[in-house]
Amino acid sequence: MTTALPGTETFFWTESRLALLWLLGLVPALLLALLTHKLPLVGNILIALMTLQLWRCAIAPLTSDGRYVLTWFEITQACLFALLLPAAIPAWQLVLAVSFGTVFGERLLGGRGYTFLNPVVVGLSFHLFSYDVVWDNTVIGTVPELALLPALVAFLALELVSWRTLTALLFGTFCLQLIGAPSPLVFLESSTVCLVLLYLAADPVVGGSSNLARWLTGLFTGSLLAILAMPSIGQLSTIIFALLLASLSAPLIDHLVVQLYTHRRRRRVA
Amino acid sequence: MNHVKTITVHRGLTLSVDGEPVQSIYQGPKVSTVAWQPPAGARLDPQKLVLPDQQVARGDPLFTDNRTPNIQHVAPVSGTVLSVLHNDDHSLKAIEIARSNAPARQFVTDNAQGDEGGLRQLLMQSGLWTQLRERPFEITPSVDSVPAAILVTAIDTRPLAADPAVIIALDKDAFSRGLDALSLLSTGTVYVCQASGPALYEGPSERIKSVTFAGPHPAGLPGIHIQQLCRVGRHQHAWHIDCQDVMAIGILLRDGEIPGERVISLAGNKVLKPRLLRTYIGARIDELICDQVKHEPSSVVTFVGSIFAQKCGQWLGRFDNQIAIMARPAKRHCLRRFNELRRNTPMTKHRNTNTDVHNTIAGNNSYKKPSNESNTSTNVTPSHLGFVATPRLERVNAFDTLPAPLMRALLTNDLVTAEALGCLELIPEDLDLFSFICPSGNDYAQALARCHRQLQGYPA
Repeated sequence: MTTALPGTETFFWTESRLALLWLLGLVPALLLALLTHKLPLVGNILIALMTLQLWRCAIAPLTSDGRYVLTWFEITQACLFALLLPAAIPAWQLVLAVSFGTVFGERLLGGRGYTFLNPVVVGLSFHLFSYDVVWDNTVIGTVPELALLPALVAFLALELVSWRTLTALLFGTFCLQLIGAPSPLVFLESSTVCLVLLYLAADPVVGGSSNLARWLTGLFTGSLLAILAMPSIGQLSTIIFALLLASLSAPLIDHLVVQLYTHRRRRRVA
Repeated sequence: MNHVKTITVHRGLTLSVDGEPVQSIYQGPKVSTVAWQPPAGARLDPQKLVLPDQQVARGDPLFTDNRTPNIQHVAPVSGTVLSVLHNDDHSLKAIEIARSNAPARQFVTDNAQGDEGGLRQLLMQSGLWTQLRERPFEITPSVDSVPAAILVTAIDTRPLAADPAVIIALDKDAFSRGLDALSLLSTGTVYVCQASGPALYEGPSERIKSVTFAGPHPAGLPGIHIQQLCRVGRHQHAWHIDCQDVMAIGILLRDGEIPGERVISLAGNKVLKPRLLRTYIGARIDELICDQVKHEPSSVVTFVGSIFAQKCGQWLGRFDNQIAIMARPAKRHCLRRFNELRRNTPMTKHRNTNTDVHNTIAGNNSYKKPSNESNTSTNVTPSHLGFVATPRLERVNAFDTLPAPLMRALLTNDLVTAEALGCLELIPEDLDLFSFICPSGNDYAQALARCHRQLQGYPA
């Protein structure tokens, strides 16, 4: 019952419009990347889109929502795959990475809103583990990080991402700097890291479902990032691995927060 | 003057809607048909039901309930019974009465003045007992139930609502008589929950206290009042009652008859003249809004009760204080139509046990249907729509709970977690706000009602 009641000012933001905003946030970075990479990037986006559409059509009859058309979220995912992988990636590797990500990270668990994983993280992890690649030439790497600033502002203003998660992420990396980890500022100099933090690490799907859980998940992810990235700063493979570990542990953090809350609530009510 | 305690609610949602009502009371349009409807959470076993064409006076019993024979269900107006309507599961849905100007039934109130037993007896006889609601579970209190506190709702923060202070000002004497009577029923305090302004209770009683609530919606919902003033659970019950029903008790004790009238707000951006109307509990909606709408009726949608609940109905419910008439949304997008078309193919249809939820997936242009359909579902955990825990839920949450985990527990029928997170203190009405702002399209109120049924030991 999503309701943009005519005559009410609020609630223009329906689910599909919010999802469209995720895509629009990527547009500046995409345009800048197109200037350098041109055709290969367009090809990669199209391949990723076609793969996602294929899986949607294949699985739609089995799911309760039965939707056959790609959502804006999935179109965003296709762009993220193309931006975070090298432009010269063989097409079959791209198809396999996208397929693994969308099937095991999302469709098998019921789709967005049921899953606790980000399909892009799952797909990139698959690619990382399977082909033993070294990522240092991502498409997004050639784009200045300022291109993501409009997206950051819009997401925070509309509460698409939690400022708590983002702050905790940076704070987590900052704390570990004291024991020798790289400074978060070094992280942020790379536009790859900025994109990953904003679109993958702060995605509300993988974060906690309460404010305390958001703080804790952010801190945990930030610390993991700092620890794993210690030997090689800005290496995408270690960041993706850290995100995978963090999103796998987020449900546990969520559960612990609920247990803590219910325990304190019982004492308060009694 | 007594010091009035003020409680400020910081989180919530103020929705600005065009068509705010003028806070002055007008006589409503002529309504010829009025319906009696069962009270909240009632499981009735009616015997000696009235028959069509039978004459009834206002206050006459319509049937005897075998489960609680002492609590009467009475005709809200005098007139002739038109029809007795049943739901698909044969439970009583409504009794329609054609209104006449015949005199109301007179009750003997001598035993009830200042005596608890007599008062309980009188309230049960006159049908006003069924206007009381008990939490947890929002049910009519049992005959011998003693609440820890009684909360009188004299504040309404829902968009386009009537100001209860204006209604109470009509008959202050009846209101304070009603409050004095209520204080007999409980050993605890009677709280008058009101908006800021002069205290609505000015009497001498120590056990009746005015409490001011400030802040955005849901500051006016009894759920917030109960969490702030008297926590409820499996072993502690609290009652709440609307200020107009308190006035009805006062009028019954003073005049010996129950009032059939009620003041509601008729507002919204498609109402010719948004204002407060004096009408009847259970009035037929189409008679009530006839000639009140700006454009032809097909271009508007009428909500009975809160805008957040988006409930459509044939009659004014017994706890509904407002009717909102809003513009009907534009036509659906073609892609969305395509998706819907595919969803209704035989291949997917048999998987959708809870069609009510799935019909509302289509985004901003859908409205909740009357929720009777889902009650017949035998599926214990009906499928729900994907739900992302956005920080927005936290911002409007004024209740003592974790909103996203509670909603997840309700949708997945996790009764243990839902109870631990405080679902006993809430009623479906409290969650309407979350259904309204959550972009996923889930109906959390319905999910809570299902969980409550199971926690009470009834089938889902």
